[in-house]
Amino acid sequence: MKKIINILALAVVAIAVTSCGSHTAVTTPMRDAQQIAYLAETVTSEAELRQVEKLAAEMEHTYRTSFNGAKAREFKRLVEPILNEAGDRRDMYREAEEWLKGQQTLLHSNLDDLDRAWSMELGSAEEEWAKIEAKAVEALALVDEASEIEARKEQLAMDIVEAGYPESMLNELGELEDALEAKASEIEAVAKESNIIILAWQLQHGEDICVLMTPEEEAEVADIEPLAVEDVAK
Amino acid sequence: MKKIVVMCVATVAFASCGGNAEGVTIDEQNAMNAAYDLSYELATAVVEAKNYEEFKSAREALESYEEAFREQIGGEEYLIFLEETNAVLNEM
Repeated sequence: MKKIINILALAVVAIAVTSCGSHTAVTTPMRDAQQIAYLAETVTSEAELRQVEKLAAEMEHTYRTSFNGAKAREFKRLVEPILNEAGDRRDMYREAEEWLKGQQTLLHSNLDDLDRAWSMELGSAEEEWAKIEAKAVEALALVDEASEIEARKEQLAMDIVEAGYPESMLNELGELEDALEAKASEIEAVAKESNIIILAWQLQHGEDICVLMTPEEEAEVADIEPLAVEDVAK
Repeated sequence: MKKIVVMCVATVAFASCGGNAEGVTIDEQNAMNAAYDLSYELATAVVEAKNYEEFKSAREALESYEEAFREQIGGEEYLIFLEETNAVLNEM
């Protein structure tokens, strides 16, 4: 008798343990899929999507453990496109959020640039023009360096294919890509500095910066033969 | 006494939370039109400022409305306010 009671007690514990798992109440695959669809319609963020996916996974688990594989498969078949659609909606909202953040950043960066231009101490037109020219020379030198890196990168990309994609070369390619990106940022920064000076002059003097050419520069320009109309047409 | 202290603290906290958007209220019913009109007006004032002082005051006004649109309205209208303002500023 004691043995039977012990066996019964064990059985009760076993049932309790299995039913204590994360069993979510289910009805029929169609009705539960509808419930998931209803929740999925409101998904706008990653966290909301994860919640709906978690609930769907729990329901599928319940079908698999409490009923049979056929019901679980049926539920999965119904729910999969709903979750995919919710994922697309989440992506759409994420893109919209990123666009919004980009516009916020742009607004404040525009205002900061204007502030810098207004508060910049300017010298004579000749002095400022010399700064702009120096920036142009600096930018050209950076462009040359970037072209050199680009050429090395292209050569390396071809060598990688021939060498069968060794990791060391792939790493080197990554480094060159990073260097190219850094160079592009440097060029952008130099160009921006130059533009701020031009803008500062425009704002503070109410006209574009204008510098008279030196006699040597005038002579240089005069030496350049104008192109004939037929040359331009070619 | 305790009540009075709590009320004073709450009033100070409320006032300091106002920030730049203090005093700026956007009409929710007309938020879309306001987004178009105000962005153009405020950004034009920034662009057309005649000196640094005028610029600073126009910038402050623009940022107050940007904050008000963000906090009171949000959504599409706030995005339109940002996009239109940037369009005017980028024309420079």
